[in-house]
Amino acid sequence: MSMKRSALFHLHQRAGAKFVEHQGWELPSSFHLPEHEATEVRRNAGLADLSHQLKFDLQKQPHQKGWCLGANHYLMMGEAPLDLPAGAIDVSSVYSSFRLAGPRSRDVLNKLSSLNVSDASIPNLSCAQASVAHAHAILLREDIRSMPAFHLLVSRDYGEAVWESIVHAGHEFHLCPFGLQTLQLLLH
Amino acid sequence: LKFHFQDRVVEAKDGDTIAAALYRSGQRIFSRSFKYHRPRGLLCVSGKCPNCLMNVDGIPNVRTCITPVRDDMSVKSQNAYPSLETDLLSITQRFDWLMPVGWYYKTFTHPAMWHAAEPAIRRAAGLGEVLTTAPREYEHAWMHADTAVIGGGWAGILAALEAAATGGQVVLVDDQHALGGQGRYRKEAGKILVDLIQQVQALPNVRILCDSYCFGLYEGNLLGVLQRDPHPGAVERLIHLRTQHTTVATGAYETPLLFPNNDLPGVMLSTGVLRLLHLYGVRAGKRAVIVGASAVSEEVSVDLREAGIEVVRIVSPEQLGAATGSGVVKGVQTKAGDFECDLVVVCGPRVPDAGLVSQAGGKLEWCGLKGAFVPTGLPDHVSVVGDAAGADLVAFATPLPSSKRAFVCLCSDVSSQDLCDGIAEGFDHIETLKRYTTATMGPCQGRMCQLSAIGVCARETGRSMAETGVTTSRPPNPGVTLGALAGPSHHPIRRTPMHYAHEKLGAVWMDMSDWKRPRYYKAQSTSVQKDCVLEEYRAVREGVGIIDVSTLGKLDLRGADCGRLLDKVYTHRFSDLRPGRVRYALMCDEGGIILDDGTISRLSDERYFVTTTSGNLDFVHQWLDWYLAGSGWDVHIANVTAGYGAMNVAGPRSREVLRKLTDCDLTSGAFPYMACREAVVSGIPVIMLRIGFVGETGWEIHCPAESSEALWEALLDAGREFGIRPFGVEAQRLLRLEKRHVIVGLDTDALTNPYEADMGWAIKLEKPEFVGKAALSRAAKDLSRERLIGFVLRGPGLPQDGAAIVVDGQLAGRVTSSRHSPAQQAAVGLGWVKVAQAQEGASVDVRVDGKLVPARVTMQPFYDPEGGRLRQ
Repeated sequence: MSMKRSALFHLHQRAGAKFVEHQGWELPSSFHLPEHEATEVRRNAGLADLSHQLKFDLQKQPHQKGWCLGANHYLMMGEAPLDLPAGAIDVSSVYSSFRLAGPRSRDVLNKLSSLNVSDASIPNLSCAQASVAHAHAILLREDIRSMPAFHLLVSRDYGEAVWESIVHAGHEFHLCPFGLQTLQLLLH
Repeated sequence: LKFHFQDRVVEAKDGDTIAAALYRSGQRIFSRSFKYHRPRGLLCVSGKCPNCLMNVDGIPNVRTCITPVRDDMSVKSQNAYPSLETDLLSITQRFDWLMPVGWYYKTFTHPAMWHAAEPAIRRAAGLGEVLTTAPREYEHAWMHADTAVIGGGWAGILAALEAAATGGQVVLVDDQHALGGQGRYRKEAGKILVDLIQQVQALPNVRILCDSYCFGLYEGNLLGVLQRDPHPGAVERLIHLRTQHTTVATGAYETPLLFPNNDLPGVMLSTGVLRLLHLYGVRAGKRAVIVGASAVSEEVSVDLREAGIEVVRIVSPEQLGAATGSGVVKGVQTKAGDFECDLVVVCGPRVPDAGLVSQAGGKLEWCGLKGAFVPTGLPDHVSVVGDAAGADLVAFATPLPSSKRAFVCLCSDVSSQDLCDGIAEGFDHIETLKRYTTATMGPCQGRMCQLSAIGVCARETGRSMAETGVTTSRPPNPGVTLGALAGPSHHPIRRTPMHYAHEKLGAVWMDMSDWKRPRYYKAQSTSVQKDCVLEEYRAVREGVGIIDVSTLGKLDLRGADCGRLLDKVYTHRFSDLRPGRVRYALMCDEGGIILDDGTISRLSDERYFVTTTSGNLDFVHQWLDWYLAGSGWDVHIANVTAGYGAMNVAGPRSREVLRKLTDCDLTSGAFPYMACREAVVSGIPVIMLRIGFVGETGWEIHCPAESSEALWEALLDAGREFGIRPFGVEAQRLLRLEKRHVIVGLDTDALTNPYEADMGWAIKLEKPEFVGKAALSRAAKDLSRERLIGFVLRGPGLPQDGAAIVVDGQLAGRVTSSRHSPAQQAAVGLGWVKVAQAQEGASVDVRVDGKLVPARVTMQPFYDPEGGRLRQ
């Protein structure tokens, strides 16, 4: 059985990522030293590809934490297993999902979107939809241990273009791509 | 630090601007004027006048007096030949009597005259050239704040501190390299200002943007801010700054006095002289004459003397006759005698920089005491403080002599005499005078000339300053480079999951809106498009081919009422579609016009899978949402376009290929044409539709995007023994044309109804209600307009899309698509003709390369008319 690949696979490969198998997906575990990446993310900003995460489109508020995208429109996201209500449509494959984290993450977003991403406008655990790097994006703010962090969901076909735009915009802030292993360091 | 200026290398000190370094190196002439090519030198040294514009690293019209030196940059003069020091075209000033005010209007009274003169004028006058050789990075950014303070002088810093004290977010914008405003070059500021700057810099809720100017205030308190050199990766950043409140603290700038030869290099504004001295340590001259009212000129003279500049004389404006010299200033003539000098320091009237105020809807009102137009009538969301509000301004007498050599407008060489002539000719309103003479319309946007122009106009017309009024400031002011407005050159690209597999296979790409699709693949033997496409065509017709159709729009519909919704918006009936079956789907608007087509598969009782054309997905999704809204029906729609990679495996041997990878029974008995199944292929769960756009046995396989590349590779592997070929859009277009399958939007247009396009079979008029029913019922009975026909060319050549179809020498229609058909051994195509010609076997002519070529009309597909191959 072949491994599942995110839209960024070939880009990660060119960037010299070390890959790891995670829930059937072939994903970057890190690009450099995980400890180094974690330091950079905590100091500046980082971007990770978490496209493997399960996503479900719902019309009703779920029992578990769901993100309200609009009237009768919810999104559930996370790692398996999820407690799904009836009628959920699996949209896991539809979105490339990025984790943009770090103290400068909002500065990066300010170069790609007209959305106001200040604490007042998008506090932790709130969400919004906006154009990011010319593509429609769903922004979910979920801080990592009091460090500002966002989930960024864009249609998979725009995934590579948006990733490249974020990395380009983040250059001045020393934004650093990071992998799953680094994410574990940040989370714990 | 070193940089190149013309042919020489100029040394610079840390913190120097280009102009400061050049001045220190002895350069006095910085530009040549627009019309008369008169020499011009530094004047304001603050980015407000047009005198120091040069080409820097390929960018024209850079204000060198505020642009910091970067190592190794290349600086060139503009509009001067052969050099700034000797410009041959300065001869034009001898013939200024030939070019009176309004010269263009008076001379070029016939279009032919202008066309004859234009090339010469374009070469002689102008503002530099755009060089395409210098690729530049520009950026956009967005900011949100409670208060924006524009201007970082005394008033601005105090306003920022006050706003920050309430806890809100503040952005402080200043166009110079550091905060401080006049305090940076005026001695009396001292320690208090330094303390204030430190205070404001220490505040966490104040964001300071130096080297940034605000060029416009737009609706909703949106400010356009241009930041120079934001970081090494970009030259300029355009910031969209959205605020609750804007405080304008732009201060007041000094403007020139009017006297003959007031534009000579060496005649400088006092603020310019002080900036050069205190910011860059450059002495503007050795022997200076100061012109100005007593208080200010005394202060300036103290500064100059301390710096070792000899002050020859302080002259009041009324006493001054003219400046003398050619090339650079040599002296002044005054009522008290002539004085030799190499610097004339002009303490001119100060003008509140209130452009943003007028853009915000405020008014500028004349105040005689201050000698300035000051802002009033501001809206609530804008306030103005400091010198911009006219705080410290004091009026003094400024004579306005009429002379052909006293320049009001430096940008386009308009003298005070020109203004008088314009007024005498009847252009006596300040707005018409502006347009007729072009005074205030140059790069400085009226900063240097507006006050004197109004003064001359008021005097000549006998009206007061207040009655004369000011011209309007419109954004962008100051100007903005087009590169900054355009922003970064990131065009988003949509890639299918098999993108890199195509690249490995030698795909030649084509753009379809944001998508990249393989047009065709380079073959081993050839990379000529025609031959590659033919090979791909043969593979599909004789063996097996595979094409990436992931760009198709895909919608997942769940719920008990999906059928009702689809019955409502599509012309066919879908509520009676059995699970496991596919039906062609046609969508029309209320007027019966074709909007989109695709397929609808019923995967289970309460689940439908809808495909749309690539470009119409968003529209179809909205259209379904629109008719669902308020209906109360149980339907849940999700756009899953990007979630599925899709590939069409087609050809007589496609079944053999697929059989190797799946247990699903693919025989026509178990999996007939127009059936669908959820199956597992190569270990991957997929949706399979047995449909045939290209006219052969085939399956459209929709596969989770993350596994699509693997499935694609598996199918190519499995198909190798059968000679499988990936085929591109070009071969697909040819294959479908032979089958007479219509492409909506290519073969149909904004007036096409399905009956005219021979698709009446896809409409169920007996349905009680659906979108477009009334119009389609009428269209079914009235086929008098046009019909879509097929044609087979009876001669050589290939008509282009849109070519004329001719009958009896009369235009009868047009071609919509045409290709050379291997099946017919002739060019075939689709086209629209009048109903009378839409008969099987009728003869028409088609225009090919300018000649008429006969063609036979057919209403049948060009290949396999019975459709037997699809069902095999």
